[in-house]
Amino acid sequence: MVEEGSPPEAVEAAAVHRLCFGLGPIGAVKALGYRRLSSMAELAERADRSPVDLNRLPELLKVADGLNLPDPVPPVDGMWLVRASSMVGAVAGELSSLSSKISADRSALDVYVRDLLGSPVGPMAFADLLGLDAVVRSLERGAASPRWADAVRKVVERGELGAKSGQGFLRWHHELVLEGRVRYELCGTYALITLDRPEKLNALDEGMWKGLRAALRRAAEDERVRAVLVRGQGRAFSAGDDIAMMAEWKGLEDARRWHDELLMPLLRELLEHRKPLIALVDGIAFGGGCELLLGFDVVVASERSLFSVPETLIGAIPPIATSIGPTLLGRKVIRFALTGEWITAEEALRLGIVDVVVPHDQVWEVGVEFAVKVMRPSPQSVRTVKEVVAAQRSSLMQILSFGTQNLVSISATGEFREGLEAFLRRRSPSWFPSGSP
Amino acid sequence: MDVRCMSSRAPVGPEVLVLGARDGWSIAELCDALKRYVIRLTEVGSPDALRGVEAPEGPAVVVVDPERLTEFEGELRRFLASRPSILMVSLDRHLRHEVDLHPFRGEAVGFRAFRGARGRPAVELVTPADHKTEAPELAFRWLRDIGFNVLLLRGSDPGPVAARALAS
Repeated sequence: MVEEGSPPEAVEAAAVHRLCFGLGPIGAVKALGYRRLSSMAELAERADRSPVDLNRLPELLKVADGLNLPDPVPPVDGMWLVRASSMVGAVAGELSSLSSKISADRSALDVYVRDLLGSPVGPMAFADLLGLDAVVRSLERGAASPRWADAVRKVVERGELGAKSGQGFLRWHHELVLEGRVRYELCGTYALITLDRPEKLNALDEGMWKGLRAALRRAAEDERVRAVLVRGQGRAFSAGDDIAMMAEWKGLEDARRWHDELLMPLLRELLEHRKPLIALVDGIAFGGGCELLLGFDVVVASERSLFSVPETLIGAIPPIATSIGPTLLGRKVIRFALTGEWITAEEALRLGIVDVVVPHDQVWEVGVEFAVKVMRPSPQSVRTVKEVVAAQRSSLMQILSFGTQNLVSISATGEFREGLEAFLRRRSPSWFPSGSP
Repeated sequence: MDVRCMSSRAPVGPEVLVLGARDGWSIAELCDALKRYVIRLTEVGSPDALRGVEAPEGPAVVVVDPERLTEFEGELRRFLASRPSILMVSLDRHLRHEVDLHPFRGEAVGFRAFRGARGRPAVELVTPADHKTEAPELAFRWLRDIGFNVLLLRGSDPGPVAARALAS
């Protein structure tokens, strides 16, 4: 990885702080020392499966010694740029090829290495949770030994993709449930919810609101689920409320029904959810799609993602951003609610909408890393944290409701109708009688 | 040998005899780890000293470098006959099949010892596929029950698994 251009301290920090390994690769090499490592390498080579090129050993140790990395290794910004999944893939590939040649139970081997590394899950389990097709792609892009990619590819070629297919290096519980255009998948230890209406940029019509709520409920009730990942299919997380749906409201009654039966139940489900919620954003998160992110515990976004709460531009309001947004994010969110300006991923990071910005091809991996990371603490502690957070968020329900009720009220006005119509006809809205400045 | 009664960090369980010296890193690492876990260790420098080791009730774990086996063979054979024991030979410099354990083949359990993340001891036990005694399982349970991270491998020796994991 260092050869691929990643700074050594970033590689080490990625292993320790992203993958939760007790020590990074450079620290491990230094801890083993020359005598022991060369002895191990000789043995491994004699066993015909050398993990270390003996000729490069002195150079490797010299590099490791010369790095003088701080101990313990602190997190660094650059660690988010490291393809950490290839580290997992390399160890998993090594163990996989090893397990096929010795009479050790795969699971026992994985648990042994898990405890050796001090990580929440073993390397093979981690690779399965990431998805073996993703791990192969990561290994193929890097400078890692091709034999590790070969070992993982062999499993993928059998159609065994890991937790998302129920079988990878290990066996997993896998379920797929379609809640309309929302896909719910149990992938071993986490639930994956996919907003699957890409042709409408995952805009939230009635079916999407209902489906998302049902999927979140299903995840909350399943004891096997330790974390919930939510993502959008295609080039948007969600473009927000479906304007065509709103344009069909005949009057206040329809708006109230949407508010009472769809909007508020989903917001309550989201804000008071008892499992860690992780949003993966790679593309557009506008309007309601952006506002929903305030209910998540971790938001991972790609560098190319764009955010906005542009409802005022179509005669509406962003009810979540304006009611609980200033409390959760601070004063600056008001500017974006008033102007509808677009927000880059970096700005969203500064505002606190987003927790981590990563390259677009790493959003998925980093999301799964968080799903694994929340498996490290005591389950009871995680549950209690979420209960306390839910209580804090429920204290915001009154002001949130004030915001959403205002959206309902405004929906009966001429400006709202004009805004929606202008949006659907792709023209600029006219807020003022002709002749006004 | 009943290993179920052993608990971690308690000065109970089998007596551990280290024959010869702390040759190589596996024996050194294992001895350091056992001491940290308050397990009694007796270092036996010579065959004569082994003869002098009293044979009280209770099991023993005998740890030795395979290259010292010939030197200790006679006394060790007598000792093993007099006391239920696990014979553990270190595999720092050899693969299991390369080690000439005659006449202890079928009795000795190969091992490599490491220190894992956060200092937790890790031990890999390697035995031939046709190993007939209960010694590998007993060693596995003994080490696991005192809190070590243990892997039992049967059949061909792949070399140090820890090194593969850490260096890959």
